[in-house]
Amino acid sequence: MKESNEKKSDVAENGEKEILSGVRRLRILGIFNIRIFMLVLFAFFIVSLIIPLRPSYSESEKRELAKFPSFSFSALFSGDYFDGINEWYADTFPFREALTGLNARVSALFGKTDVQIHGTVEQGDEIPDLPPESEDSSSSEQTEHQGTESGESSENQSSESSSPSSSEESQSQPGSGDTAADNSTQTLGALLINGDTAYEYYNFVRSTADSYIAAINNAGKLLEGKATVYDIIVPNSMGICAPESITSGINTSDQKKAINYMYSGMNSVKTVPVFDTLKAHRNEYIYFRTDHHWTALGAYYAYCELMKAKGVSPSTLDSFTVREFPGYLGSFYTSSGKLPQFAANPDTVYAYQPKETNSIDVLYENGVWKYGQEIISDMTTASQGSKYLTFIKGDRPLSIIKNPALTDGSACVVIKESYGNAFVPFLVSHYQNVYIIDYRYFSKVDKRGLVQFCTDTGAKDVIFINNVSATRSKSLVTSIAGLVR
Amino acid sequence: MVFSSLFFIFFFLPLNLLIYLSVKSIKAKNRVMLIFSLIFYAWGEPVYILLLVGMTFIDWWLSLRVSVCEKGSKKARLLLAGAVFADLLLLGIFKYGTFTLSNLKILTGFPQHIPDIMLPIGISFYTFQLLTYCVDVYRGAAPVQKSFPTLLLYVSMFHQCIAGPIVRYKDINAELENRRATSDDISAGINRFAVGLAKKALIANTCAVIADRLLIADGGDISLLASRSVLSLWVGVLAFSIQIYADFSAYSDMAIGMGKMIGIHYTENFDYPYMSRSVSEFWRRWHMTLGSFFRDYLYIPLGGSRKGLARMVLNLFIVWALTGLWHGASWNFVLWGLYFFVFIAAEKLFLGRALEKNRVISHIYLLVAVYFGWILFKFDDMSAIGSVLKGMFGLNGNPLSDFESRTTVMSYIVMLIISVIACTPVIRNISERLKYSALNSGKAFAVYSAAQLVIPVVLLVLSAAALVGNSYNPFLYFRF
Repeated sequence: MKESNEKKSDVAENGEKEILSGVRRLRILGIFNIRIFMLVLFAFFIVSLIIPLRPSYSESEKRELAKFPSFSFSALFSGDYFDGINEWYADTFPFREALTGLNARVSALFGKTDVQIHGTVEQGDEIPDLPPESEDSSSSEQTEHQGTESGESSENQSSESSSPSSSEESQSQPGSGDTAADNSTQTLGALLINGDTAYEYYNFVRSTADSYIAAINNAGKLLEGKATVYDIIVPNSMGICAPESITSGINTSDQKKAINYMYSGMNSVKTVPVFDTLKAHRNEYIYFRTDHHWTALGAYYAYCELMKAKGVSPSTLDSFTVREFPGYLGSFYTSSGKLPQFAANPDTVYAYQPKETNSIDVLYENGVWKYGQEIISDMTTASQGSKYLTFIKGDRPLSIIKNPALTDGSACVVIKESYGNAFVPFLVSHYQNVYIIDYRYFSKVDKRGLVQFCTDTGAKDVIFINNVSATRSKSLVTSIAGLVR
Repeated sequence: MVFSSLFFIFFFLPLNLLIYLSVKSIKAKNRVMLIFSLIFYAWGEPVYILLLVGMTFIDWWLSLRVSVCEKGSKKARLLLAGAVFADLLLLGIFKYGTFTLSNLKILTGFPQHIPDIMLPIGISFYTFQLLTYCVDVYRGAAPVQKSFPTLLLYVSMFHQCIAGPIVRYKDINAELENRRATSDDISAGINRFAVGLAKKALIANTCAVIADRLLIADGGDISLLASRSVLSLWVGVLAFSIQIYADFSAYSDMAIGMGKMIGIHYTENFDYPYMSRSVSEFWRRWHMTLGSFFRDYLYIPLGGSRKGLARMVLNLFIVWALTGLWHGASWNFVLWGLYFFVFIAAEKLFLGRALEKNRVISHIYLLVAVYFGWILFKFDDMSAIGSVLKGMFGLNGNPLSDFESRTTVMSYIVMLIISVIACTPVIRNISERLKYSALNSGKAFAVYSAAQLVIPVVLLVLSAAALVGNSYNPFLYFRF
């Protein structure tokens, strides 16, 4: 405002009253400027002090928001206590969803292109043309993993505790908090967004793929003569659905080649090729556009391939009751910053409910069994981000489906992460008992290894079903390896 | 605490203003500012606040004794030397201790164990502020401050304590003891603060995303750089160049704005540096308070250009090596400083005259020089620097562009253009032109008032919206 004073003196000399009044006008404007700004600033100040307005859970991000830190002297002196307050204050800011939505809308104004990329694209390892080395090296790999098992599991626990899961709560209110734990162990890679569809990048990690091969081989060997082990590696939508015009020359590893590499190293189990089948059905609704999972229809085609490998004819789709839950906006929607083009065109979750039974017994992470839950839950009124949780109550350490129509004692064990959820309902008609293990959480509530588990349950089929992204995650593969004993 | 945290903007600052305005006397106002400043600092450094207070105490006490000595006497010189030595020793230990010892270990194998000393936030900034006080009192350029709390307020003032501007004591001592904020001041301060906040939350943070995506994220795998396409690297470094300017100048804008709100006028720190036409000019317009510190408290005392050509070049070398080192305890920063030494020495010797001939060429020269400088600044790993430089000229065997780089550039092209405009004085010039017309034109006044009343608030709300989903966004210059 210095120059306005200079002007003032200039002007005064000229004696131009008009401009003098202009200066006064500007000064009054300045006062209004101060009042309006301070009004807004203090409105934020006061609203932010109203603690009940602060959310504790983010629906769209599927996570518990930061909690007010608990006081300790060590946290005080290290600065963590104050950092915790900052984080709590910002993370649980009143009207959080409205503000992040505003931000997404404004950003969309500036970044309006059909194709976008979110996250940092990583370079994959080169996928070898030859199958991996034989027995010796893979078994030595195995022992190495068993050695590190305890260390890894404590790491998992610590990451768990930072995002407490809320099993009890989810009981009354399906969905809330359920995938929080999932997010802590499996983070999404970079995304490619083409219009209203997103695809997740996949980068092949050779050492982790080799550990995965070793773990599955080990399962085959340990269960030799006791059970048949099947392995299904499910590609993601980048490998199946992304248009070639986009995928040619992009930095994502060839999923078919990666899966074939891993399959070629498995000599003690039955591998189930699903890539080509899914590719043949790529124009059907087999993957979500706004979420990283496949749909139940995609899972059905994989199920048909498994039955082929078993030599059993699969059930047809019309032997299931179709349930439909529109309005789904999944993980891609959230992690891409809630792009409006997704919100305008959400996914629909279709679920195929077995006619034999819709009942499932579920062991939650707190060690409590809940009996007679639903295989396919009604998600009509569930929040838009949670509808994939219709399948088998989401990711639980252990669940059992008992088929009342069979009494032959047949049983299978499915070892899966969340891709398996949409797949499991198709198995119901083939076994008297289907045991479902989510390897990420099982060891927290049940100390048995896979061999003991099969002995106890009399399972003759062990089905590993893992999505291709899981096979590049060291912590997930380590969890799988830890279960195989 | 950082200025771009919601806690600061919507809790700390309003509370500070509220209490500040509710007390009347200057003494009470200063007490309020001191308490808030100490809390602000302790919020980030609960333990090192003792260092800040201790260093200020030493300098306060020694300067008091200097002030009673005869000017230029041996005793005064000794006392000043003691203060400067104490300041530099502590800065040396806390900022360069680990660096010095690890280099010593590489050379001599000693010591075996290198302690990991945490860098106290802002130590580089407040140490320099203290140095200006001690030296100016010794030189008689500034009056001595008898009150320790007032000197502590000068050093710890939360507006500028941890990331500049490096305000000299003599420039604000009068306002520390007697000040009045006019409505013009407050209004200008608010606008400046809102612009700074938006520059950080909307421009710097977005350019950071672009740079991270096209180069690598902090702590990312540097081997990725070798696989980046030519386009990716060029635009990535461009985005980083904008990011660092927007980030750092935003901090100064917010500091200066908050100062004005309470009637303190801090020294300007940036003057559209990318508009310069020589490296010397760039450094007179970039982080101006650091450049002038080195000029007035090092270069000129060393003899400047008055002791012959060879001595001048040596002086420049010392100044620029130290300017580089000031930015961080790492060789790449020294390299970065010496990189500018080469240009500035050349400009002083012969290049300067040549540059005056053509405005366009000299501007391009400056932009290219600074642009490549940022590569040295960004990466503290020599192999990363090598691989970026090679990749920019297609020597890593990568394509000119690939799908990811094309897509990222296209997605952010509008934002990049806006960001480039933000580096120029275009918007300021429009607003000043408009303000001038508003003096005698009703129509211009209407437009100007709408802008005045709406823009700061809109910037505040948009910045808040951008910060809610993105709680972690420290200022780059916090590392220094």
